Amino acid sequence: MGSASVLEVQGLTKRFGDRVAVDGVSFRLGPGELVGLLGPNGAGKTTTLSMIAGLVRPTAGRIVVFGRPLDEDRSVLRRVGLMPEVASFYPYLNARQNLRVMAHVYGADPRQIDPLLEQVGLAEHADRPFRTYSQGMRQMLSLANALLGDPDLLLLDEPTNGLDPFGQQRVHQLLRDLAARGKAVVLSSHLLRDVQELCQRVIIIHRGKLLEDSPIERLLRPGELRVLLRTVADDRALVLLSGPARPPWVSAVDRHDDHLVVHLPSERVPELSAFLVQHELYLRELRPVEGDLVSTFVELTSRGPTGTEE
Amino acid sequence: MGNLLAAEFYKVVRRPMTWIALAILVAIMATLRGLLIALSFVSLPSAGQDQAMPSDLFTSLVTLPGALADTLNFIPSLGLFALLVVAASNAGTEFAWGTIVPLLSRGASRTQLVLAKAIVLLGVVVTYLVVTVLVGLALGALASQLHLGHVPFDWLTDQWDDFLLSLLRSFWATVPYILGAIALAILFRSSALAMGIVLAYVFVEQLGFGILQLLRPSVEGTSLSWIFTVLDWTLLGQNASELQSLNTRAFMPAEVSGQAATSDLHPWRATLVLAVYSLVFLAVALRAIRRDIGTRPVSS
Repeated sequence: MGSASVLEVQGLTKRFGDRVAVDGVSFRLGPGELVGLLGPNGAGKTTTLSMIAGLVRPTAGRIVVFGRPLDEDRSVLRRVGLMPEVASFYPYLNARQNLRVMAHVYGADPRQIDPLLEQVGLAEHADRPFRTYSQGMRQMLSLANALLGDPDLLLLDEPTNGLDPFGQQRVHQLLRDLAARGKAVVLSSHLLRDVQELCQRVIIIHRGKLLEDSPIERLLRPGELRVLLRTVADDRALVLLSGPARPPWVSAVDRHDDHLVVHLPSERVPELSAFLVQHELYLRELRPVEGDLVSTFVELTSRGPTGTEE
Repeated sequence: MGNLLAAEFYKVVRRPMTWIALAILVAIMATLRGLLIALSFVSLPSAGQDQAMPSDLFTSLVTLPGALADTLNFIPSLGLFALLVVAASNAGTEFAWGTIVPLLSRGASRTQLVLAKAIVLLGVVVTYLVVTVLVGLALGALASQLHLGHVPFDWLTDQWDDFLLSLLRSFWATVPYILGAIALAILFRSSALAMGIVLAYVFVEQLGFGILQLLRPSVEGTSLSWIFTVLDWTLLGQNASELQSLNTRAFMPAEVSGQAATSDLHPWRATLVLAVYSLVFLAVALRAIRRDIGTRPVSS
């Protein structure tokens, strides 16, 4: 175990009666790493985060936070900020008062509260009772609470749930800043776009088992490029690129509403352009489409933990 | 522990329910006492030679120092219902609102959280007790002025030790109920269930024991009399009532306090039994809080 490890999870298992919620999951996290935790509903993501946050006792396995085993030293949890899936606060208290209660409990400096509320965009709503907050505002307060005391490890469960695009952008920027400051972040989200945009690494859990723990570039298959193509005659282009006369380096063509997506090696893009012009299919648009985490996720999770199709 | 105490205190002081329940209690106390004061000015026919005149009874009940008995027993009797609601709600809503998750997510000691809750809620009991005693004293002073033309303060010098002891008895008679409400709220993770169970127990014990009392004369001296001995010794309400009876005996004239003066009271036994109940409830709460905590609120 390296001394630089912020979090190390070894063989983590949780059983609820006969049901195995988490089954021998292992991974580690270094400082400044922003890792996406993915999995279908009921995969065991929230249970995993709950065990790391010390709320749920593992049936087996080990959690080491900042080099200290959690079952021996729970004081390390003071350096772990949790943003649960559902923002939970006292409805009769306002944002500032709610954070003050938590600051008492965490032993955090209450002078952090106002700058944090400013940071998450709640400064002007700080005196309104929590019960009057919209879902987005509740999420932002929950994020501010997770950041209280400046923890070095953040466990965020669906942080952009219910946020408007401005809120999502704010959260993205905040997470990038935190990672740049050396904070380690585990981001559990159903919004794969968030994960794709923010995380360097992705951990996929399915039916409690670890399915994948890879750098995101590997999951997005960098060897193959997908290009969006619009020509003067898309139907004819489709026939040409998928018929017998197609170039051998085109591996697939997908028809979408108003464009085609062509799968090909990245170095063949100029040849594709020339090939189409040669057949009087003049280009309206030709640009690479970013790798798609959604299709990778669906493919991996439909294969299941054993690698067989489900 | 200091941090958790500060957090619990901060919450309970800012929770409207804490003060609304107290205001309701004060209103009930003022209404009931107002009725008694009014009745004390009405001449009623005597029920019998050997009993105090009802108007004398009412006068003793509303003037000082007799009014102190009713005042000091208000919290462990009627006030108990409001306090149970406050205590069960304080502990149960942590699960319903999901606030137990941020509270415990940074490794706060679960034992200390339960102890902090218990200490702060017992502080609420003391606050309620002090406020209702002050209101009761004011009403007693008013009634004394109306009836006697002056406010007697001699009890303050003659019976100050009785007064302090009675405050302590009232507090002690309330403690196991509060800890029971906290324990059940944590055990079932529900304020409503905790309130329901404790209030049902209070009603069932009072009603059931009242009915059983009718059988006592016919059972006494028989081989079944042990049943009443066991019930007297073990029932929570029975032991709490013993302490309240001592309060009544301390401030009401013997001919008015009647049964309390003649019954065979066991203050130390009652104190000990209530302490055992309190410790059992505390142990249940401390055990129940150790279970896994889901991150989704119970109410959702």
